Amino acid sequence: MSISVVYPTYLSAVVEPSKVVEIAQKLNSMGFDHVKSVTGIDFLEENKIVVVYHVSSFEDDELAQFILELKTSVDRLNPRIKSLIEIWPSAEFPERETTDLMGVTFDGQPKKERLMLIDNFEGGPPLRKDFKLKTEGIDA
Amino acid sequence: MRLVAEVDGDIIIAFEPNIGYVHRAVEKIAETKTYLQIIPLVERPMLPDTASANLGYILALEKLLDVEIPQRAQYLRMLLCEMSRIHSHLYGLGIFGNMIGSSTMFEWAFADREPFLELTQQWTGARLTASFMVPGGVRRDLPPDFTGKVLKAVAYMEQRLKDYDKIFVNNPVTIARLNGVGVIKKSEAARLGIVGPNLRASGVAYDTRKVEPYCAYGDVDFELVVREEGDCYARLLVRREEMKQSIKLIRQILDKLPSGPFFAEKYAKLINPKMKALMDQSGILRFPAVFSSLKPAKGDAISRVEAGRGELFYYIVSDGTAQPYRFRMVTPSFKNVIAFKSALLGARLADVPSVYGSLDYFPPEADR
Repeated sequence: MSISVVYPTYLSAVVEPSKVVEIAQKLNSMGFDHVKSVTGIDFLEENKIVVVYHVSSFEDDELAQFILELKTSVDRLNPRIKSLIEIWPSAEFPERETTDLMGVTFDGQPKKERLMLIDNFEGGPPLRKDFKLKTEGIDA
Repeated sequence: MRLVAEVDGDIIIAFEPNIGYVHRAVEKIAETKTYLQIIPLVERPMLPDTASANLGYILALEKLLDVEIPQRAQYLRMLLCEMSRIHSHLYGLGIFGNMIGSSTMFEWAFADREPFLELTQQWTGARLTASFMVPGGVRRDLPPDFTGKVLKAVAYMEQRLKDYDKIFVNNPVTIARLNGVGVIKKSEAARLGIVGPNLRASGVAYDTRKVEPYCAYGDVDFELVVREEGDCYARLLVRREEMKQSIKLIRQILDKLPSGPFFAEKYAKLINPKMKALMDQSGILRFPAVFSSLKPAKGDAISRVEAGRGELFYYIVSDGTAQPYRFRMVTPSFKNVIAFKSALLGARLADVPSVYGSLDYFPPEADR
C-alpha cells in the first residue's frame, strides 16, 4: 500500500484488491464510519478499472476533517471485488450504482437488480470509455 | 421513484426504494463537455438548490486551476448559497406539508420562495439556474440598492417563520403525525452515511461548513443545529432552525462584505482592456477567451460543500485536456435514499408520507 497526500485534508492510498477488505476493517475500527462515494474509472488502454472509495467520519471530529481515498485496480474483462457493505452499510447504493453504470461486480452485494438504468437497457455499462453516447435529433 | 413495502397487517417489515427513473447520465455527459459547460449541467439535478451544486463543482475545479479567489467573491458566493438554502428548505417544507395534508403550509412555503427567487433573478439573471459561480469568482457584483432588498426579504422571512409555527409546526395534527415516527438512531445515522439536516436531527453534529470551512464560513458566526430525537418532527425542527441561521448568516455577510474585485486577477488580466473597462463600470463579468477551453492541471480533485439537503461531494479526474476524464457527483438525496430502508421499519403504512416528507428527498437530485 502506498499513501500520498494530494492536499492536506485529502489522502490517497493505492491498495491491492485482495487487501481492500482488511484495510477497510482497520479504517472502520479507527473511526472512519462511512463512505462518501464508491465509483470506478475506466482505463481502456491499460485494460483495467480502478475502483475508488472515498471514506471519512461523521462522529469523530478529528477524522471528519480528512477524506481518505482507496484506489484499487481490477481486470477490465472481469471486474470483481468484494463488497464492503458489511463494514460500511453506506456503500450499498454507490456500489450498486457502480455495478450498473461501470459493470463492476461487488461480491456479497445481495441486490442484483439494476439501480439507475431500465431493466431492458441495451449495451454495455455506459460509464465505460468504449460506450459512445448516441446522437439524437437533426444531426443523427 | 418506486417504493416497495412488505407489510404485516399495516406494519412495515421491509422497505425498498427503487430509484433511477429520472437518471440523466450527468457523469457521462460531463465527460463530453468543457469545464465551463459543466456548470449549467450540475445545476439541473438540484433545481431547488443550484447555488450549492454550482459552488461545489467550482471549488473542486479551482483546486486543479490553482487560482486565488478575492474575498469579496467568497462572500458573494456565501450570500447566494444561504439564499439558496432558505429556498431549498422552503421547497422541502412545502412538499412536506402537502404530503401530510397541510395544503396551507404548501401554499405558504411555495409563495414565500418568491422573494428569494426574484432577488436571485435581479442579481444573476435567472430565478433558479443562475450559473453564478465561475472559476476565479462570480459573474456579477451586487446590483445597486440590492442590500436593502435582501434585508427586507430576510426580515419578512423571519416573521413568516412565526406564522409557520402557529399554523403548522406547533399544530397538534403535525405533532401527532411526526412525533416519534420514522426514528433514525444516532449510531445508525452515521453508519448509514445519511447527510445534512437528516443526520443532524439524529444527534450527529456534522456540517461541512464547520468541519472543513470553505469560502469564508470560518469567519462568520452561526450555530450548528442538532437535535437528539431522530424522528420526523426533529427533522422538521432542524430545517426550521437552519432557516433562522441562514437569515443570521445573510445579515452578517452583508454587514462584513469586503470591498475589492469579484473576479480573480489571474483571469481578469486576460480580458481585453475595452471589455475590462465595461466590466469594472457595470460590475458584470466579461469572460476571458481562455474559458472556452479551460485546461486544468492533470490530477485528481475533490470537494465537499453543505448543500441545503446535506453534504454534496465532487470528484474530478483530469487528464490535462479540456474535458474531465472522469466526473463524479454524489448528491445529498443519493446519500439519503438509504434512510428509507431503515426509518420505516416497524412504522405503519400510513406513516410513509410523514417519513418521505421529513427526509426532504428529491428524486432528480438522487438520480442525476
